[in-house]
Amino acid sequence: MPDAALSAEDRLDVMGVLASYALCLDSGDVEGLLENFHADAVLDHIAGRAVGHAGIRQWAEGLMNGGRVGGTPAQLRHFVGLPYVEGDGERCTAQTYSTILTYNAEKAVTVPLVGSYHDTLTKRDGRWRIQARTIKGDLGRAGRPRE
Amino acid sequence: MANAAPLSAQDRLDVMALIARYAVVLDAGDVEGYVSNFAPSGVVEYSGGRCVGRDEIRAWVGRLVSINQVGPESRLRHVLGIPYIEGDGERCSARTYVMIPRQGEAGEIAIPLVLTYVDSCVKRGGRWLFEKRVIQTDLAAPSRRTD
Repeated sequence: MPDAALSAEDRLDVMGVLASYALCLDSGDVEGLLENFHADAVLDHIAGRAVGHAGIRQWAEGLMNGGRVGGTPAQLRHFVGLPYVEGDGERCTAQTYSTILTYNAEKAVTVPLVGSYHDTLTKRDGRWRIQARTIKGDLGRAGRPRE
Repeated sequence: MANAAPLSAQDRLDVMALIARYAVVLDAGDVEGYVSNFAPSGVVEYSGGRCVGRDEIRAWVGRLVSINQVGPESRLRHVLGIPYIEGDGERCSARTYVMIPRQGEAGEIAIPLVLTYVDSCVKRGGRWLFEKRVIQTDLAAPSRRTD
């Protein structure tokens, strides 16, 4: 049983992981992105599941090959909101909204998707990383709930 | 600095507060509040130019407020993402996404700009200040694009 409570330092470290994920993905920095995941992490995204660094790398590179994610000049941003973090000093969960900002056909900035990240993070060797992430589409064409 | 203290949780919260205060005072049109966020030799770089020192920063932002490009009559807000902060107890860097929603004449809301603030911060007299802020344009509506 963990004997440490989730400290302010822990919460800020978790927020740093969530911020880094978006910055790395949007800048095309795959190695930096993987630093935010444990080697055995699982990522459930809207189109399937990626397992481990190899699977997450393949997923990220697939997104980037699409031309919008990680492109220069920027074509898309993952705008991450304030996370709700609960847990202890070794393991926690975080729920975070993410607003996707990109250009539409008229080259105006638009919001095609508002999603949420449902994360489990664990601290190993003093460092927080994502153990499991589920990406849900909440609003928008890609994620609209079935009616 | 080689012997600087580590970046503490309090430091990170203070830097977050600095970044948040920048947006609040800018949207309120509080020019002196805006200027007070910068070190005396602070620098702002933006797509159209560069200000060095508080006098130049005051003149620049004062003009933006006077023509309602920012401030309470501008009908826009600087909405911040989670800052990614790295450094030590005396100096740090931060990167923060910024989304700028703006209300049009008919009440519709558009997002003309998505930015990244790339900051260098220093602690002077126990208070964190911007030593340099680079306002990087990531996504821009056609009317705001310079390229």
